[in-house]
Amino acid sequence: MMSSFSSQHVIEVQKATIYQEDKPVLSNVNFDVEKGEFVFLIGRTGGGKSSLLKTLYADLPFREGYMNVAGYLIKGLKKQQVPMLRRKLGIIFQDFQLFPDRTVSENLIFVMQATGWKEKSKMKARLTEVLMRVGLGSAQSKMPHQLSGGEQQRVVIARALLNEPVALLADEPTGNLDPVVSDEIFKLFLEINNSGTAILMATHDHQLVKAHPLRTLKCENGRVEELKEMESF
Amino acid sequence: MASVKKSRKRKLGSYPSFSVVASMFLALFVLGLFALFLLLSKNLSTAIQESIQVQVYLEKDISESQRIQIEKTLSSSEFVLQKERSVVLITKDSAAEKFIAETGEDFYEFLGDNPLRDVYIVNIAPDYQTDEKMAIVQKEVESISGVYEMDYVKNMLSSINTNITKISLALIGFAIILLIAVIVLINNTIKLALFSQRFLIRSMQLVGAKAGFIRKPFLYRAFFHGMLAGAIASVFLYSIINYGMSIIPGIDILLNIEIIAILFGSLLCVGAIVGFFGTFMAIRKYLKMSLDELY
Repeated sequence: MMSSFSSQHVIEVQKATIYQEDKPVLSNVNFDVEKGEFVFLIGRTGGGKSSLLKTLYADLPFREGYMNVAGYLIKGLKKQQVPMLRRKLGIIFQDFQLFPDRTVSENLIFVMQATGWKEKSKMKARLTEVLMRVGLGSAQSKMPHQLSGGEQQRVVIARALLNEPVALLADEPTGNLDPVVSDEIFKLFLEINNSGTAILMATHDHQLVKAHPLRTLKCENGRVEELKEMESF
Repeated sequence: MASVKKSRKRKLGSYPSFSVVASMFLALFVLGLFALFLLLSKNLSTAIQESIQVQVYLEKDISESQRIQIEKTLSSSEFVLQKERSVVLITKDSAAEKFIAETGEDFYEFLGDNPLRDVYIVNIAPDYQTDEKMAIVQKEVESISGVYEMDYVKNMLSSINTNITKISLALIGFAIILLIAVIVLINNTIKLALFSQRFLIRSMQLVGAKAGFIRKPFLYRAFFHGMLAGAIASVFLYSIINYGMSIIPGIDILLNIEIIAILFGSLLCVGAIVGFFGTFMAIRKYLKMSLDELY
């Protein structure tokens, strides 16, 4: 197992310092995420969860330490390489909404065009596929405002799945949803995870983390620590 | 609820094409108007310079062949404006007729003779219209045998020339300031317009769109908008020119169709180029920004 260690990881972080506007928010960060693993990332607001995720998808500059995401070395990553890295990841982010001026299928087709898809028939097939997967097979021609919050979040997840990412990075994906809907969305994440996509989910939803005994990382006092026992949360 | 709404309302945050084209049009229109003014004054100053004349008086008792020789010498001289009818003869008889017709005084009656001389009216090339050069020209002309004297208004020349230089410099200075103002104005308009698009640009980046893919539609659109604004400005300017020609006679001599075509073409180019590069720079800025900076 040790020999194939690094090929098993979709995210590898060693001795990393995470900055936010020239201020280090997390230091000496060490963790890995394996292929197909589900990992919670918890901690207070402002504790550096979002900054860590942003650094992982190369939105914040990474200066100190080692970070390998989906086979890309984040330190010194060339600007032209950033889009290629992001195509390997599915980013689910509160500020990253659907375009309100076009339908669900136009939203998804647009993303496919932006990421280099050319053939129309393939795009249509993939569109139907991801929408079926998130349970929204009939929502193609709807405008985002005609969908409920939970349905919109499903479309956002469908969008993240378009390019068959090796990992989903989700920042508070259930933040704005009521408990019942948020539970459904979470189940969807579990399903996606079961089919082999690694998921790193930042959340402060205590109930959710308590109810699902999964691997949990906690950002606290400028450190990222593995949480062994749920009681200490 | 059953029927899907097809109409797309203009959403807050969509690209404000109309205001972009409108502001670009206004900026280009003012620029074009000034350029037109500049052209007019340039052509006017050329017209003034080309109309500067000197009188070359001939000796009274020269033969016809001598006179023709003088005309040839004058016509082939460098200081004469290279244009038709630059050297025109007014014979003493026609000058006398004109004088009598204008004043009503018949000097034949009390002089018994015509005291006037044959005179060549010579248009001087603009290059020679300085006092120093004119002095040389005068010497040269007066050394031609059969020439009595050359006459011209000395101070007028230098005052016309210094005025033309001063005015031209001032106008060119204004034109440069105006051009800069127009570029800054269009650039700011585009920046503001793209500000409303920053989250769209952001979203495209997050899904992994390459910078070129994000930029392309914006650049096409800015290029097209610039051309459109230039074209509208040209249409307005053209109607102003037409109106000007109908109320101010003589203005048509100062403007020719090629110059107007070049002016309109330049407006289209300035619009398209400034639009293109303004967009390029603005997008580059947004592409570099991280999310926190966008808010």
